Amino acid sequence: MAHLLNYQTAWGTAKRSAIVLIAIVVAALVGNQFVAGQSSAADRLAKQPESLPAGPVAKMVYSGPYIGVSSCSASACHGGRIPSDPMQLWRASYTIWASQEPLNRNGSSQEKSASPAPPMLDKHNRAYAVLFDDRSRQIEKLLRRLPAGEEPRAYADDRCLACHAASSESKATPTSPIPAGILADGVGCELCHGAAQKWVSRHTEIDWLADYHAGKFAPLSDMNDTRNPVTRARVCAGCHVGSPATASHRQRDVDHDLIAAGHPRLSFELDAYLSCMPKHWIDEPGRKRGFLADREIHAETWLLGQLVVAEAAARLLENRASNVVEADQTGRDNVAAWPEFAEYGCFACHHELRSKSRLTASTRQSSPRGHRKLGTLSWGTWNFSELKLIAESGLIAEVNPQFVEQIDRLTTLMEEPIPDTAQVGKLAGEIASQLKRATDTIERDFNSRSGSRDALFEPAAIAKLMALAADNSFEPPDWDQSAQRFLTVQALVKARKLSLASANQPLSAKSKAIDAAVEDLRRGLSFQPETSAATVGETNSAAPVRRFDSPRAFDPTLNRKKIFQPLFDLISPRSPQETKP
Amino acid sequence: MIGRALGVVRVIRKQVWLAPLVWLVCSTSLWSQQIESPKQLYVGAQRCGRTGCHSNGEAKLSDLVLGDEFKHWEQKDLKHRHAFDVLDPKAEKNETTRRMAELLPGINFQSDSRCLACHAVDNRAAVHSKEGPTIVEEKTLEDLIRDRVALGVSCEACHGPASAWLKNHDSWNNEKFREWSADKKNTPADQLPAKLAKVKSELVAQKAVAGMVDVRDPVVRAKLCLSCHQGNIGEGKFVTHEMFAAGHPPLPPFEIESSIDRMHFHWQPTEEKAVQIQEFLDFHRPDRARSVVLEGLIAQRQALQMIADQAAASAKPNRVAAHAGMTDFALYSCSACHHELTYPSPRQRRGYGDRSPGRPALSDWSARFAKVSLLAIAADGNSDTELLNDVRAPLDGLIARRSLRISPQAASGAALEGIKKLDGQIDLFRIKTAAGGMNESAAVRALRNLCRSGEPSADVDSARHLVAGLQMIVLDLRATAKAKAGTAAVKSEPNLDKALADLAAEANRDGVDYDPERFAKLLAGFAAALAAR
Repeated sequence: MAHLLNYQTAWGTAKRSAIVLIAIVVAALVGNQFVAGQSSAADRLAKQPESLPAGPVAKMVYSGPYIGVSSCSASACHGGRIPSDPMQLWRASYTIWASQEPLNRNGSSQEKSASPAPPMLDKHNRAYAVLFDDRSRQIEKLLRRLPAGEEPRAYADDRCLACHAASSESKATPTSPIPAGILADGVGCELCHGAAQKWVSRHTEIDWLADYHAGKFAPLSDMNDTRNPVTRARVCAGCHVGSPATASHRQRDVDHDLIAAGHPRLSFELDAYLSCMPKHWIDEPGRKRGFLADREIHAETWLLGQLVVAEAAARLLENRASNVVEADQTGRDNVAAWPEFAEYGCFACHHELRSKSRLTASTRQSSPRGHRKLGTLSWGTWNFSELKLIAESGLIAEVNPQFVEQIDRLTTLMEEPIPDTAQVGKLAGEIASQLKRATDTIERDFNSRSGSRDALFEPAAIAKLMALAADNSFEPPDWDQSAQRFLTVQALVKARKLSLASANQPLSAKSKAIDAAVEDLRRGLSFQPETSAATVGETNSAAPVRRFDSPRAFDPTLNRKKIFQPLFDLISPRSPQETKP
Repeated sequence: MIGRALGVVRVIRKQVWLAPLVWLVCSTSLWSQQIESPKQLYVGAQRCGRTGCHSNGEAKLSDLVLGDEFKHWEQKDLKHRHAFDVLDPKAEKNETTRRMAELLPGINFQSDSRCLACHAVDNRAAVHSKEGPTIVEEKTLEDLIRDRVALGVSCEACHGPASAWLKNHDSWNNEKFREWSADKKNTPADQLPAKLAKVKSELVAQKAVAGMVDVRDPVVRAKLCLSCHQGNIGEGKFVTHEMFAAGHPPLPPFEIESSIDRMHFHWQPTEEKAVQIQEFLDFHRPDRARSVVLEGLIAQRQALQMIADQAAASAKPNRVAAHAGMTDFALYSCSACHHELTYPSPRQRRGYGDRSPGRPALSDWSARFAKVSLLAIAADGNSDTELLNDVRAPLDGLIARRSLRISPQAASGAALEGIKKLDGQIDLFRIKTAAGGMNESAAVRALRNLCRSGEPSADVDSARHLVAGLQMIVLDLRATAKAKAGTAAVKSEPNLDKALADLAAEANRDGVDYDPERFAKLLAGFAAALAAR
């Protein structure tokens, strides 16, 4: 209950309504079982005295915009029991987020669910707690090159906190330190929905709620309307892709230094990530009942995700380039690496040079490389690889052939040994702005519910995207592009299934075959843990199986035929098996 | 006009910074022996091998010369012999070359200087100085082949372009040798060493001026082998990352003595030569241990030289400024990037030392031996070991801070400063160990230090390199023991043999199966066997 203590100390000056205090107490007493996660993070925190801000806690005055999850978690607010009616899920948003046991897709707990889908756990609640684990300690130690014996304190490193906890302070506008209790929330409510100081009371008022539930855009200062798919995608991309420093946020950046120290690489695809998160909001059932928009969520999410992710990545690149230009002008020496390796395909470099096959043919050398020069890095393999497909679909006016040319030019620049910072900065900025124009339009359309974009996601649009995705000329040069294409097809297949279901068509045998082929593709692309050949013959059977974090035997050419083709044959309109219902 | 003049001024200004660095290189003792030399041209190996001198095979030509060197080389040293043949993409067996030709269209491997520099004797070239060969005449592929480029890495590739020494290199030998033999009888014993040294140095100097390479000198020999097996940008011998990516086989860490050991000898090892020849050559005992250790310094030196040369090349005014920097990945450690990603990661467990994680590391396989060499030079075993840090630290610091964007001037400056320091140590080592090579205790100390030389070998190639060095020094110790024992049996050391064999087995695993931590344990086992010896 450490967070409660901290709250009480901040209480006198925080000028909160009495309702909030009651909410905290009620949450602590009534919602106890659901607060388990929250208190466990806090308990860990309590065991780490050095994690608390220096100086007497009692004197700390926090005047920042965050109020902490315990302001939302009252059982009468968002901390209730998980309801059987999906339309009432908002009553348990906090409960679902905070759960330490896996939940099924719509937030009901595992045992009650008959769903075959694997249960899920919202990892956001542990975002701060993980900073105390061994891996985080190792990352911090390596990243900061700490001498032996010095305690690695990832949980106190602003670079980590920028994403792993509430961190509204930017270097430009420092505010008072965020209380340990709010830090301990990890990625709590406000990190996605917006710092709630200014809107927490208004959003409970009946007139506002009426508008909100009617699907109207009811903007409040600092509140992110996460129902809007573009707004939501931007919130996700801020951490899952990264972002330059803004007025309200520090720079969020998982660069190659951080990855080499042990941080997982960021390979974000919005639809897949959302599918892995237990929903604490009204989703499909709501859609069925005309709540929010009548859309094919997966196709739309995938498409907007691609645009927003590319926009965020281009913005980050622009910022990196301009930092280097600035450093060169001011003679500052110690800058981030340029080019930033995290923007390139990992497995172009990260593969063993196998001594036994050194003199024999390498599949790498016979696989397509596009225009890339031999022995150079391949840029933008994750964040930009599907834009061409989107341009071909013609669904987004701004993403057109000229735009693809710009991407190609940027790629060429970035694949030079030392990319020209000025040119790259300019071009990346233009690309980001163009994508912002596209996504801004969609965001506005959604808010005004003009419906002009609805046509995009009609079954015909899905079929068109699917036909393009299953193009027989698709030759993925790398694992990244292959995995992106898999995610594309997966989202489109799900979307098609939904659209068939909404048209009350029964699932055909072909749908099942498609599902099986998608699963085969997923398995073909996943990293296989392998027993080391060196340990196989040894008597010590306790020798650990090594887990590879790279596609060891990945062969794009072979995989194109073996694992993509069966699926493409099923979903391509040119396929002879296709029979129109 | 004015523009052009300004351009020239700009060019000159850009090169000015190089001047003191060039002076630095030229002034260092080892490389300052550049005397104005006669024009050196390649004459082709058939002049050595087809005229009866080196392909006799019947009788020994002299005490120094076997007489059938060419035959040995041609029939048994197949990799050098066929170095040019592998460049033919049409030959059925050259699968790698064929693939490279597909990936590098428009390059004729059989006439391109970048390939011929290492794969053949480029007899279009004249050699005047250490700056390397210059092309003096245009020749067609047919001409080249007719001119016996096709013999691959033949005599002159190692022994030097022969136009200036071909006619009299034999008579010189005999003349000087005869003179020495006659003199020896009439010279008082105490004056003998001085006399010998004088005769020898005259002989070597004479040959060097004419372009003959003194392959018996470990420093010269190391530089020679490494110029291809590691690279020498100044001589146009540089396997770029593009070539590697196209399929050129990797150039793993190169342990010279063990490689020579694996080579088919077309010469008679000095220890088997007649006593008076050994005396003339100032040979007292097997000295491979000394060569192993010395070559560590040379390899480190040559690695720095490559960086300096590459930096100078990238600073040339015709380079786009944005491209300047240490951008060819071939200069970096292969295994720093080329490894499978595993979790948990042994790399992360081991840490990255002073380096920022995620930044490329310069190729530094030679550093381990260089460190041991420096320990060996410092007889008390503790001074001068900081020197390697001195040599490398400025450069490593630059790379850590600037990554690939390191400025060519700074890189070149740091590398040349390191070279200067190393050259002093190389001279010191030569002097300290000249008389009779390293003695047994020094060799054992070198072994011990190799076992202790820092962290376990990070990648399988470094492990192989280390094991090769250990094997050579152990061989040398055995040879010394045998020489001492005479006809008596030499005590066998099964524990040491077993430990060494275990190390070799681990180092010969496939890269992905190699386990640095297991290797470290085996290395500790070897050190224990050594201590119990």
